[in-house]
Amino acid sequence: MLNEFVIKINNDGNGNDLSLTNIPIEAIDALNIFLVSLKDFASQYKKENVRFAIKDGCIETVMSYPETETDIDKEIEELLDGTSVNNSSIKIFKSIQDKVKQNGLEYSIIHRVNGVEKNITSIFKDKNFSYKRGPKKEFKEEILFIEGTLYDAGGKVTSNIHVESNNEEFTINCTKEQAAKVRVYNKVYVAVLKTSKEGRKPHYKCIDSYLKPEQFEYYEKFYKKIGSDKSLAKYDIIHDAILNILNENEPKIGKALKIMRLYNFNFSDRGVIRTILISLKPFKSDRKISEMYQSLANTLRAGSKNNVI
Amino acid sequence: MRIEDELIKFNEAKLPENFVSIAVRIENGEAGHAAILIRHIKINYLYHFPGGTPPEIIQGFNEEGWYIYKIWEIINCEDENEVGAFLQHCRRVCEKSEITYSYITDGSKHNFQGEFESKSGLPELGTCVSFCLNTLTNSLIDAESYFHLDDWDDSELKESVDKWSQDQVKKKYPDLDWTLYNAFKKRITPIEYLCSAFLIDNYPIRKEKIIGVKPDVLEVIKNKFNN
Repeated sequence: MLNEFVIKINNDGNGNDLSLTNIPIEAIDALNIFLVSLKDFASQYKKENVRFAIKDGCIETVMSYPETETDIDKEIEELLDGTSVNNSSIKIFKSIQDKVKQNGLEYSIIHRVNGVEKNITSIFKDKNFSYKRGPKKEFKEEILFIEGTLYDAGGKVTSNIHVESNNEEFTINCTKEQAAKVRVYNKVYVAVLKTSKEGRKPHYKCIDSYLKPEQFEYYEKFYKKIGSDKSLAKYDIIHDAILNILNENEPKIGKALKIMRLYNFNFSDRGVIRTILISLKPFKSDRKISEMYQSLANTLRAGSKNNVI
Repeated sequence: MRIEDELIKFNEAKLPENFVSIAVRIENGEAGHAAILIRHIKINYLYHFPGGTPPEIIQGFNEEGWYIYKIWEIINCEDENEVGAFLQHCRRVCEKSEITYSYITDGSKHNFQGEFESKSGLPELGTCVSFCLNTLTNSLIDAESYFHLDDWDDSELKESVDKWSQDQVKKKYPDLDWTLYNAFKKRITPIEYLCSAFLIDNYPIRKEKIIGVKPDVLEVIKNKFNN
């Protein structure tokens, strides 16, 4: 016994019976879609086992296949209950559905498995077969430290700098103030936010720039050390760094700002953010730091459960 | 309903792997001792000031259900880093604290170095409650004070404990300004401390707010510890 997937065009819009000897023009179009669709569907399986027929009585398109082809039954069932992730098959069923939902002709669709007949017309008429998205491609964000030669800077609407580093060219978005600070053909030392997504060109945004190579090396080493330390001692490193800044004869708040800029992102370690915030809490109203402090506090707040920190 | 759901007896319920909580030990049906219970990557830590001995963090804390606590939602319990950073701050406090037991709550705090920062000019004096409050206060980013301390006075002191603690203070600080000491003498009870965990939108917390939630908290404690 063969299993069958059957699409019948029963009547025209006026209720008149149709047959292979009496085919109106709109039924030709439907018949064409059904045949092509079922042919495309079958081509995903062992083609030699699948047969087609156009039967009389009404206008009946039949795809038949052996009972042993359980993959076909499984796929049809998944398409009908909406669990199929095969977008090729979903596209085929959508084509059939689009035609069946149009006014003008009357259809019925039957799935016959192991002799058991199931009328699935209502599924085609009432629900929509929709494409399934694969796993969402997430943006990946990370901080990079780039040391290179600046060969262009500027832009009227969007400002950026062009840096060559290790034979790689980077176009880095930045503020006009940041662009104005650097000089073409000189060495530049910058920390950037790299945003990448599979299949897309990465995007770079300048977070901070360093005048001296030793400064650049210090913050790069510092950032990488915190990132690679899996123990809670990393919070002591943050704490000690801030403490050293504050213990200087004339505390250089700029150094604290440089640390804060590296962690002002929703992907940053919240423990680091909290440690920085509690360390600098006595200075939070200081003119030089207040804006950055609030920005960092907002980053922490955005990831809190009740908007309180 | 919310209080019943969120006030948890130790090991009573499956909880997040990371959290910071306001905890009290129930003694004879009453909240008798205050602590901060921290769970970091499934390990429990009890951070507290026992009173007669220095503050400590008990790692791998476990007991038979005499503590009850409410997660302090200021620290995001879904983030092990944030909880870890708080735990590390508590360790810094324990290393440096020289607290002596006294009914003093003056709004002082343990700064980010873990050092005691006196607000009144008094040395580091306090109860188990004030020790926890000093630590929590420093971790509040959006507020400077935890409680509105003027709402509290010395009416709930336990006389015998007060006398014992003053003897300790006299030994350690023979030249102490006792006028100043008496000016900041007050007691915030462990049950009031526990109630504060439900009022995180109201810093500094007023006593009248505590009075508002206290009956429900007491009722939940009664139900949980009578069964």
